[in-house]
Amino acid sequence: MQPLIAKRFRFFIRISAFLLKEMLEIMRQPLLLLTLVAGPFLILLFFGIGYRNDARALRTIFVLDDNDSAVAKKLDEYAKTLGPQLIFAGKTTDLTEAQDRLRQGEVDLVAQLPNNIYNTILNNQQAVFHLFHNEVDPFQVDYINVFARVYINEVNRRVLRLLTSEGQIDLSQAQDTIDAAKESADSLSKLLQRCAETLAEAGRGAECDSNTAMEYTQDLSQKTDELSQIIEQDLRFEEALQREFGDGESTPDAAEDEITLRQIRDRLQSLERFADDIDQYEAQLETLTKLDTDLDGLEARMQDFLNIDPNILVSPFRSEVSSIATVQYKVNDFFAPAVIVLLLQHLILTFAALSMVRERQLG
Amino acid sequence: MEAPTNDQLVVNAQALTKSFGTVKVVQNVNFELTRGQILGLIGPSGSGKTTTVRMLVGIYEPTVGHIRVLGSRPAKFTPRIRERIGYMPQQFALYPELTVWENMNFAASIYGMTVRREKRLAELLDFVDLGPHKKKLARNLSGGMKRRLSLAATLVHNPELLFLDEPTAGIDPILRRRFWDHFKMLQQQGCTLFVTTQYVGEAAYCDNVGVMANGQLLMVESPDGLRRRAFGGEVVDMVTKERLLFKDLQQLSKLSFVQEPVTRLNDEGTGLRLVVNRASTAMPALLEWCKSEYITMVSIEEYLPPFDDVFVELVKNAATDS
Repeated sequence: MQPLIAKRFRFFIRISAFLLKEMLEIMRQPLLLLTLVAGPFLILLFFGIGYRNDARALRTIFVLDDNDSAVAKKLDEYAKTLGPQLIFAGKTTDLTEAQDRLRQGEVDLVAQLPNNIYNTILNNQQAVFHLFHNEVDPFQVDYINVFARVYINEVNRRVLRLLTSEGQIDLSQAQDTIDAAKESADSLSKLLQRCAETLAEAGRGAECDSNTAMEYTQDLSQKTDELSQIIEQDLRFEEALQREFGDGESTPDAAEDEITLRQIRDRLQSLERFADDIDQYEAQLETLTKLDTDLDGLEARMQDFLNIDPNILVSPFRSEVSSIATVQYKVNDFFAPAVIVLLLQHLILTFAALSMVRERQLG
Repeated sequence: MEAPTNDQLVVNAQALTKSFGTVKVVQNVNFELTRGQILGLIGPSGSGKTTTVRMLVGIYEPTVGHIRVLGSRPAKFTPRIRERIGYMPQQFALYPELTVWENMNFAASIYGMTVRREKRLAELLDFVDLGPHKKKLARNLSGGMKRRLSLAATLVHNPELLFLDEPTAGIDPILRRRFWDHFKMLQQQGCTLFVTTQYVGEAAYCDNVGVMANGQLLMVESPDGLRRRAFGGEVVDMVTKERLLFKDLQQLSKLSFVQEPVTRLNDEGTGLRLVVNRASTAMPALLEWCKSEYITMVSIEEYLPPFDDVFVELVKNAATDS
């Protein structure tokens, strides 16, 4: 026999000879390389070319009852600003026509707006948007379901925003009332000052226009009542906001507003009581000064509330995501190694199977 | 003749039978192969030669019977035993996409040869006349060249026991003769060979020859023994000057050492072919007879029938017997 290498090395020699043989055989069969090696990579390449990392935009046509309704007018504004995934493809009153266009692939989605939205809501029911699609891919169907939820939430949010900003407008009207109240207080203050000067010059027994003073006082009282009504809802809103998200230590602004209004009413009552008492003019002037301060405070806190963007009142929260990982990968970079390993595994198994079959055939 | 001892017995097959489904391909084959022998197995296509070889190397398990090769059951061969055996299959079992040299290298690696093998591989390729073709891909070789490559790969690790399944198929006669010269040389170096062949003439190169037909081993004999069994004895050709008459033929047939029938060799009636017990003793006796009958003998010699004729006779006899 020819000299053989030591037993422990024979295993490695055999394995390396076998691997070399397999490699040479594979490399010399270009068709095999093309189908088994290049083929899967080509398929992967085509898959990668077709893969989209961003959300698909849907061409949407809207169907409504009346092209001239207020809803139709709102639709133009909303549809073009709702988000990049919705492409406004027009509006129509004909549902059948819209669905035909959907079947032909001219649009991706048909959105039928609800009728009589106002009456529906007043009847304690939700107004329903019907969305029609022509997808059979379950993933696309799920996408459209999510799309519908996201965009209806956005519409709801915009409606709430609108109502909130209307509330803020009401509140801005309180500013006029405060101004009027302050004017009355100022006028009363000037009247009382004149009375005090007259009294100082003429001594006791001099007459002051107490009727006019009373009128100013009553006007103040009336303005205070109006103010109280106007800011009542906002007081409740503020109370709720502070109850849910306040720190629990400082006095809520809403409570302070309530206290301020009570103080204003108390001061007005004291002005009414001392209206005929000329000796109390100084005390009254002092009361008026405090009342003016109260009105300023009220005005300042209302202005703070008016300065809050309605978007924040409707959506007080947003998220920001940060990663503490030291590296960030794109989707392709992250999954590429696993896909390559999978492909290699496929190749190894295929070639091993081919080799076994060939060896068997050769006997 | 002494029975071979266990040390000398390299292959021992008893009652070997192989069936594929209901078809019996090999039936009740019995033979022994001793160390240093060449045993040839001859027979037509489909007679069961390849199946027998495959059982001997462990590719097939026998349906009935048992085999011992180098003291071990072929199905339980260890790598160590396989390293002592060389097997050349009937089909080309090397790799078409590798070159001649790469195939040889691969075979050498599988048998665990050292890396310093270049000289050995080159010698073998020269022996099979494939030296100039070592860079050719195996799939571009002719059928005969593939057989030669296959043989070279079988011999690469210089095994002590060789199973060669039709090693000379598709080889030209000159190269075929060279192969047998090499086999003889291997035998002198102590190698034992088991060779199957369709060329019945190659039986002359073997120490013992097994004749297979229809899955059965008809006999195992030496080449001379085969001739004797085919014709019932040894054959002598005799040529006389005078024409031999019918009564002469009758007299000859009655001689004790002559087997019937006596056949004429030519139309002139001067040539005869006789089957005798032993040619060496029969020829002088025939010379004496001619002298006693006043017949002038021109020539007398032992006739060695070609193995093709031997084989045909043997198969015919076997068919008649069965």
